[in-house]
Amino acid sequence: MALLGTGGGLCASAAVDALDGATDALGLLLVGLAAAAAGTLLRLSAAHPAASARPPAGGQALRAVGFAWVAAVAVSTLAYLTVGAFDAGAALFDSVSGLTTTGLTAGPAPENLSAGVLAWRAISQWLGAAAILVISATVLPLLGGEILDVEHPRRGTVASQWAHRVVWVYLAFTGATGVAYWLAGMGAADAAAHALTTVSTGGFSTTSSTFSSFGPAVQWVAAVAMTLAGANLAVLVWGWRGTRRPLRRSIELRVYLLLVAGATLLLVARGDAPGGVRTAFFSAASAASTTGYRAVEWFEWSHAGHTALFVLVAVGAMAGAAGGGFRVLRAMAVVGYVRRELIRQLHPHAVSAVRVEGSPVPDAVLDHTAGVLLVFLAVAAGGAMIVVIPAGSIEAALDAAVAAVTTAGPALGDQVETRFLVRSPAAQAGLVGAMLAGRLSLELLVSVAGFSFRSRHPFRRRLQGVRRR
Amino acid sequence: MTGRWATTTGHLSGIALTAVAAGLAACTVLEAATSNRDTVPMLAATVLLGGAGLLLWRFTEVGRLTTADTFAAVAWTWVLVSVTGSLPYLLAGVFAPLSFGEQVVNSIFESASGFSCTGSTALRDFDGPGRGLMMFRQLTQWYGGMGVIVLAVAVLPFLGVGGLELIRAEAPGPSSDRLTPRVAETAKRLWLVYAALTGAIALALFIAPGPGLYDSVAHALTTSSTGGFSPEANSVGAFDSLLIEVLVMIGLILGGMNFALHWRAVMGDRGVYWRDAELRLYLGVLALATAAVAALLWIRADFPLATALRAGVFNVVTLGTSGGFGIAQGPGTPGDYVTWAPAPQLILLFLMVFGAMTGSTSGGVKMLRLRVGVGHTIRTIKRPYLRRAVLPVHLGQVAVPDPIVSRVVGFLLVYTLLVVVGLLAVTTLGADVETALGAVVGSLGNMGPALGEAGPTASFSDAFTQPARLVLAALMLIGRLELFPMLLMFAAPRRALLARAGGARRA
Repeated sequence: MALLGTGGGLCASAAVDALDGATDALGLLLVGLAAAAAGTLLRLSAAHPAASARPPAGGQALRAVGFAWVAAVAVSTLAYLTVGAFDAGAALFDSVSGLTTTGLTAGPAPENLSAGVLAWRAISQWLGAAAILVISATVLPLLGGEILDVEHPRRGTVASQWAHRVVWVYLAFTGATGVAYWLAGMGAADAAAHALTTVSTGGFSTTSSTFSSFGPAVQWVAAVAMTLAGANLAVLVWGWRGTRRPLRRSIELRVYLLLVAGATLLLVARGDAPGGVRTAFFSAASAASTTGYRAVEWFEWSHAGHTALFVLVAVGAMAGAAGGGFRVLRAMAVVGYVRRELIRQLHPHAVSAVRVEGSPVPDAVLDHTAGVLLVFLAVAAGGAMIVVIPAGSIEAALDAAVAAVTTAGPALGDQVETRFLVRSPAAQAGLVGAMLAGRLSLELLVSVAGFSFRSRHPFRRRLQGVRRR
Repeated sequence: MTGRWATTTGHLSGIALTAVAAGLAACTVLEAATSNRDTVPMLAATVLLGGAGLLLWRFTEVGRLTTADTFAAVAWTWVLVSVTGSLPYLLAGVFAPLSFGEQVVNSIFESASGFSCTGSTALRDFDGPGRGLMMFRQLTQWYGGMGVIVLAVAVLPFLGVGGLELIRAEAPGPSSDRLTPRVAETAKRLWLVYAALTGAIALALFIAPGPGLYDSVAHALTTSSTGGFSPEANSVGAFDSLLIEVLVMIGLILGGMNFALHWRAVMGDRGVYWRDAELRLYLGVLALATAAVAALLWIRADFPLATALRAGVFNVVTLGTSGGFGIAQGPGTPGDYVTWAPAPQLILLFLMVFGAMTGSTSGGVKMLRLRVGVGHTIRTIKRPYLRRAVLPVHLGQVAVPDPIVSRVVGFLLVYTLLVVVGLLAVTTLGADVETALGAVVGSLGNMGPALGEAGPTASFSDAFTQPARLVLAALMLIGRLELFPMLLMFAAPRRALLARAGGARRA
């Protein structure tokens, strides 16, 4: 499936390139067709899964996803290599950065790339996010079921229904964003490319300078779009049931928006960047959604601003969104855990449940979520340890490592330093590892708390009920 | 009927202040006999502190002893002692040419850094204060160490703070700290070990060429307490002697070990050190970090191998044990680690988080908690592949029960949140991210020198604004008391106030 998707994407890129000047069209087309062919063959030869009543074991599903990811990365790397503008390390790096929706680049500046390559960069991020959304809808319940004693949906019926709905919303959102960009003044090509990388919270851009080059209206559109992209689309779209609004339903949404608003205020109060609220909101949205666009350069923010953006990136987007980071929902669970721990110090025998979104979270899930935070920290620390060797400062290394783990990309750190850093093979290796670990392991291996605890909250049950029917 | 006021905090503070005043008195005598610059202010401070202490001691008695009360008592005592302990510096005008407000801030910072055995300094001029006053500064860390021993080994584990005692209760053998059932007995024995260690270090330093009696005693006081203050501006670097550095390192490593192990060894059980899993981890981490730092310095910073080893091992040990001595002979010299390449500095930052062993005078999250945290991390990764398996976290041969792992993980989470909040606060108050991160982690871990602008040759009054210094001082105390007592210090008073308000309403 992944190969088919990747192949399809590459062919589309080839088409775009052909329209523009045909410099790289042939290479992209060849690789795309080969991938599509391989994908189709594999699909046909595998046993049809809907026949079995038992869903695949969690571990099996994870391995399958892992392999699919590797295949997609391999195809993308091949594509970049045939184009010729990238060396081996950069090809791999940008492939991973694309498919994991990070947005860091080790390759040449976008201005020197052909339209086809730019198209593929954008499409790879869009596909990567789409894959994550689909996987969240289908594979996660399989993981969640047995750990947490929640009924998981029967395979084949509901999971794929849900996945279809999510993809439709995603497509619609992409289209709307593209139109909005175009209306705000971007050229059609730029609007399309940026729509793809905004909605996926990827961050690849067609320009190597900041977003300020596109003008204020575009920045507002981007800021709003990024904020939405970092939110859970299901909550936004299906939250309008009855008279209650999504904001009233989802505490996580409120927290997420509060974080963005709070950071905006802080940046306005402390920052000396031009553009005031617009650039502050843009940067806060870019960080919270882990997209990675920049409206101003890193050094223009105050130290407090740096920390605020760092924290936003680390906390990340909402659970179930395309963004990365630790996830707002998990952060809420951690805060609840800490509160309970403080209470327990005073009253060791108190029975105190941690509530998230109104319903109690089982201890097993809490411990698991705490473990996820530790994994997150470990990966960031390990990545920083590798990246620091070629780096110029601890701060640069930490910024790069955290930007990779959270798949935020250029949202953190001085980009001049980062661009220099990613040319080193050691840094590339460390960051590629961090990106994959961040996107895959956090998302799949350990992202249990996001969806799968039994909920008495009527809205959550409705969400899960859709899958359970 | 005794006419005494029942307040645990008051009683504890009274005892502590009296003890501090006694030490201050001795230092005043020293001051009179040596430089005789600050004798009068020190005498005044002695009278004030001693008077307050004796009054409190005489007119109070121990009150309620619930967990909340104990936390409040411990936390408030430490705060009170830190704040009043700034009096000698203030009266002597140590920070004199600055505004009065800044003098107060710096004095409190220095005092907190002393009693929390941190070792960060706001001093710029090391020759100004008299010798007696500087000895008092050293003594504050020694006192801090004594308090910590009681806390860390007797009181807090008894209350199950951070999960440690629960682990030890479950894992009998050399890692058990139940030396005797009574807190007072345990405390006395460990103080004996502490005093003996201090004496031994002082003797060793005195015998070695270099430090005279004054310097030997001064450095011994802050080595066994893993504090790191030095009366010399260049710290241990002033002696420029490999032998002195080695002796100090040995002292720091011993100070960073579980004191209960020392007691057992002295009582005849020689093998107790080797059997302890945490000790093996502690020494292993120090060795590995030294090798890595030295290698990186040699390869990337082009230090000659001998220099790389010497600078590397000392800084690793001093930070890994939360000591905080420096060997830099000035900015830019090999010992000034903020001028190193970033890679070895990052290793130092990690060491600042880890700390040394539980049951010692050192700070940081401690090796035991690190071990449990790593175990939990690994099983979190394994979980989706082994959903039905039981995946316990192991400590040596013993499996740690899950509720205890939860407590330890809870501690680690609280620590992480504190680092984030501290980072936000200190960067908002003006510092850059790297300096702030190093200082926040260093303060929570009671390390001493930090990174960036606040390295081993810098003064914290240059690197941080006044409010930032106060935030760091608070973090030092929070970290020293293993987070929870300070974070929960308002629980008991709040309850008492509410009860009184409720009583008044009923009356």
